Amino acid sequence: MWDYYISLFLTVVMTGLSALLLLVSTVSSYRLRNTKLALISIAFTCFLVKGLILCLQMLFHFQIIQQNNIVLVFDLIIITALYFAAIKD
Amino acid sequence: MIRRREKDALELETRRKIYRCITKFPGLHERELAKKLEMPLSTLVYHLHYLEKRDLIMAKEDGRYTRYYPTKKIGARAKEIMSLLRQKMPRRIIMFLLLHPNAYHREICEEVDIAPSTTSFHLKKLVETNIAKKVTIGKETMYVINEPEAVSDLLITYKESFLDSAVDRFADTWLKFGPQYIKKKTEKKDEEKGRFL
Repeated sequence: MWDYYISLFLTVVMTGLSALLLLVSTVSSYRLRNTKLALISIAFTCFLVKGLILCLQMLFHFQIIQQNNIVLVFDLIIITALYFAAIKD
Repeated sequence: MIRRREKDALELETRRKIYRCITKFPGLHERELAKKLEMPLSTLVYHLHYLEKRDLIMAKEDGRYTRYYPTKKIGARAKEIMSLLRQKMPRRIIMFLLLHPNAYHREICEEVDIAPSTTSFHLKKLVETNIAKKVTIGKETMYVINEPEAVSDLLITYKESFLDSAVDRFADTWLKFGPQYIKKKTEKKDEEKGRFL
């Protein structure tokens, strides 16, 4: 049971951070008309899509992506590092 | 004289506060505004006249009081300028150019303290959007703002939001990963080393 809640927490945090990073990167690429920033937006879109699928999987009990908590922790570290590197003061 | 006038236009905080208050509470009269903003009446009147002269606000007599209203919504051109004013580096360059018209590229680099390549990147954007124009004299390039009055008026109404500062930091961080930027930075470091040797 605990395993389920930990997975859900990690997935929700990862999805939230990806959504925030996607919003900021999309606005940046739109304002600066920069291809590099647009590519970064695509990367964050992938993270967001993955996070959304994982959330839906957990809530509605079906399976498209197989993921364990260790891989989720790695994803979360990546996205948190990117968040602190690029957005936070 | 011109510089002094432009410097006046860049006294942002007080005027921005007044302008924001008028847009939020249109129709307030002087005393109400002074009370709300906790500002001496004489200072407020001075800034109100200034904003009125620049067509940012308008005054209407209602028999007893003079009430103040915002004049206009932001147009397409103003939006274009505003989008650049919302970015930290272009904003710093614009403010520097407003105070120092016809500044050279190297002077701008020194002022904003960023690599020449990054400065050129931002200046190119300003020239492309027709906010600034460049004048080449010999080997050096000078820059000047095209409509200084309009730009400084927009600076008064400019307001930074969370998204804007996040976008600034995001763009600054990622664009620094470019090979061109790294190359220039290495060159700059080598140059500095050479100066000491």
